[in-house]
Order: sequence, then C-alpha cells, then structure tokens
Amino acid sequence: MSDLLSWNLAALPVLALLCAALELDTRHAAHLMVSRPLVVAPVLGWLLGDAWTGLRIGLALELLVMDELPVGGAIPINGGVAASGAMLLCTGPYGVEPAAAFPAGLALGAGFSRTEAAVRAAQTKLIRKVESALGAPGREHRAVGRALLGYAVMTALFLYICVGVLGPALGWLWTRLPGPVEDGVLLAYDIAPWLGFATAVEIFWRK
Amino acid sequence: MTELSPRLKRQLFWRSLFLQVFWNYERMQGLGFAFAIAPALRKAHPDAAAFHEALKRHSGYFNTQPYMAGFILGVVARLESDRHAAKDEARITAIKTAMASALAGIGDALFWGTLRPFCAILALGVWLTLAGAGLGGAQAMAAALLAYLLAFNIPAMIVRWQGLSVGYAAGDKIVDEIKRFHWQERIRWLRRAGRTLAVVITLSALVVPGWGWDKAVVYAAIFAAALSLKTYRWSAAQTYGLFAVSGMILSFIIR
Repeated sequence: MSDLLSWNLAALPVLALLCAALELDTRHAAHLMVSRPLVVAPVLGWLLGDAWTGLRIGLALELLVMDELPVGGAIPINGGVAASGAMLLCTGPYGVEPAAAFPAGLALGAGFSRTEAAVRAAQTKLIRKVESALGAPGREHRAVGRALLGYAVMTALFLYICVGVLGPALGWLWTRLPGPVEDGVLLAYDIAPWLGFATAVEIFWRK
Repeated sequence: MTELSPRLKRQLFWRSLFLQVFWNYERMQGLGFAFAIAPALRKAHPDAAAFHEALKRHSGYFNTQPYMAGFILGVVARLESDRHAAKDEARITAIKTAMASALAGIGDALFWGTLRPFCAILALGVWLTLAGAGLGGAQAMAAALLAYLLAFNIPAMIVRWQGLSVGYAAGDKIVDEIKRFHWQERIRWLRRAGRTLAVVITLSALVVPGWGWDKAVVYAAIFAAALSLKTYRWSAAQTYGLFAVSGMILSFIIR
C-alpha cells in the first residue's frame, strides 16, 4: 500500500511532469526530437529500472507512428505521450503487462491529440491578449512562459489522471481476460516491430 | 548591408525555436512569427509606433515548416531594414506568404517525411549492429539514441541557423537562392538510402536471430500483410487493432 501511495503522490507526479517537459518539444518549442517514442521510452525505462522494455516499446512505437506527419494543421497520434503512457503503466507499481500497456499507450497518444486540438482552439481566444503582449520586453517572454507552462501542466495532468486510472483498471482486467483475447493482445504486441518495419519500408517507397 | 549582425542572428534563431508556441486555428504560427521577428523589427523601426505597426502586420496568418522558418525570418528582416522595400508593406507580406507555402512543402517532405524516419531506421541499425557485435545492452541503446538525435539535429540546426543568413543576404531574390540547394535531389537520395536501410534491417531481423524457418515465414507474411495495408493508408492504430483481433479469432478457433 505504501508503495502505491508513494508512487501516486510522489513518483508519478514527478515523472508526469518530466514527460510533459519533454513533450513541449513535439509542438511548442525547439523540435529537437527528444519527445519521440524512441527517446522517451528508453529514458523512462532506464529511470524506472527496465531499459529493455523501454527500448522495445520505444522502437515499436517509433516505427509504427513514423508516418503520422504534423503537416499543416493536422495533429497526428502523439508518439511521445503514447510512449510515456505505456512506460508509466508497465513499469510502475501496477506492473501492467507490456502487451496491454502498449495499446493503452497508443490510445492515450490518440486521445491526447484531441486534447491538443482543444488547446489550439482555446489559444484562438487568447489572440488579442498575446498580441498586446508582443513587442513589450518582459511581457512577451512572460506570455511565452505562460503558454509553455500551461501546456506542460495540462500534459502532466492528462498523464497523471490517465495512468492513475488505467493502471489499476488494466491490472485488474488483465487477470480476467478470456484466453483468446489475451492471446490476441499478446500476439499483436509480439509482432508490433514487424508492423513497424512495414511502415518504415512503405514510407521510403512513397512518392 | 547584406549581412545579418551576429547578435540579431542569435536573437532571431533563439526566438525561432518558439515559432509554434502560440499556434492557433485562426493565425496558425502568426503570433509566433511576430515574436520571432520582433528584434529585427525593433532595429529596423526605431520609432515605437512604426515598430508596433510592423509587429501587428507580421502577427497575421502564417504557417510553414518550423525548420525552414529561418529563411523567411531572414528575408523579412532584410526587407524591413531596407527603407525602399519597407515602404511596400503588401509586397513584404506577399513574399512572406508565398515563401511560407513553398518552404513548408519542401520542409515537410525533407524533415518529417524523410529525415526523421531515416534517423529512426539508422538508430535501429546502429543498435542491432552494436548489440550483435556484443556491446552491452545499455551502451548499444545509448549509442543508438545518440545517433538518432545527432543525425536529425545536426542538419536541422544547420538549416535553421544558415537559413537566417541566406534569407537575409538574398532578400527578395530568395527564390533563386532556394533553388540552389537542390532539395528534391537531397530528398530523393535520402529516400533511396532509407529504403535500402529499411529493407536490409527487415531482412536481417528475419534471418539473423535464427527464428527457424517456420517462424521466419510467419513474420515475413505478417510484414507483407502490414505492408499491403499501409499502401491503403491504414494507420498504426488500425493495423495494430486488426492484428490483435485476428489473433483473438485465430486463438478462439484453435482452442
């Protein structure tokens, strides 16, 4: 019980904030690729003592979502949130089976892209406020800081709530799954790298 | 004066990293562009009213690929600093908008569509090679991540940084200057290299681990099926879901 309490009150909030800080790289700042699944999942795995699972999940997710491009106003599946979610689920005290955490992570990545769309819509309402801050030294930097902080807090909250709810739920569900369903989930996880290879080969053949 | 001062270049570069921070559906990167170009406008328009008027002009709709924005920031900084050019505000906006669309097409294809997947495949290749050569798991993983980040960020940073100088030096002649980079040839070359690497890695993953022929054939069939679905634009989640459901049905029949 104390393990769960310290995870939920200390470790998970800190890890969610770390993931959220890395996640700023996806859309808001710099774009140095530190929020890609290939980076996030192994780093989290290393921090949480399971680097191998981190690499396995990171590579498979990276390959699977590599053709999801943020072109124009499109918001594809968020690979960074997918990797963070999957890793926090399977390496935390709930110890969700990686085969179950992986699709759950994919679902979180897809769900988060909807949240991002809502943030962008909300930012439209703040145009005048930001516009008035631009050009005023100090105020414009504070506006940037607020935008980054707001997004990071929202991402951290999203991860904290989703992992906090999905962790025990998936742990409970996994032991009660009918055999064929469990087999299907395990098979999909086992072959995920091959699905990823197909994405990689196809993307370079595309005209 | 056709050279960007080092101080202004550093300011523009630093601010260009936050181009998307205020992204919204009405103006997309417009407010971010205004934030990024502000130091150049302040220098070009010492009068506060003129500066704010110019800033307002540049906070309108704008959208391009973030790594290519340096070229446009350079061009706009040059045109705004040129007294004759700065008078024709509509022309500056027109050049900016036209460049944004053209460079977005190049940048999306180069960075998102080609370089990023190439770097992921490269990292996978580095990891497999080092792990296969007997290097420890953590070391091989660190080397693969480093390869991924360096292979992507070095060219991306060069384009961002140099784009500012190239854009500033070229001014409204930027179109001719951009052509000199032969973007399409570079993209084609990178795609060919990526394609070769992806095929080699897939074949190695089938053969090297010694799965046994039966398992290798199953994996090859799964790869072929997934590849067919990809050509019909199936997303990652759809393909993954289909194979999970197929596995469930297969298991139900076998049991």
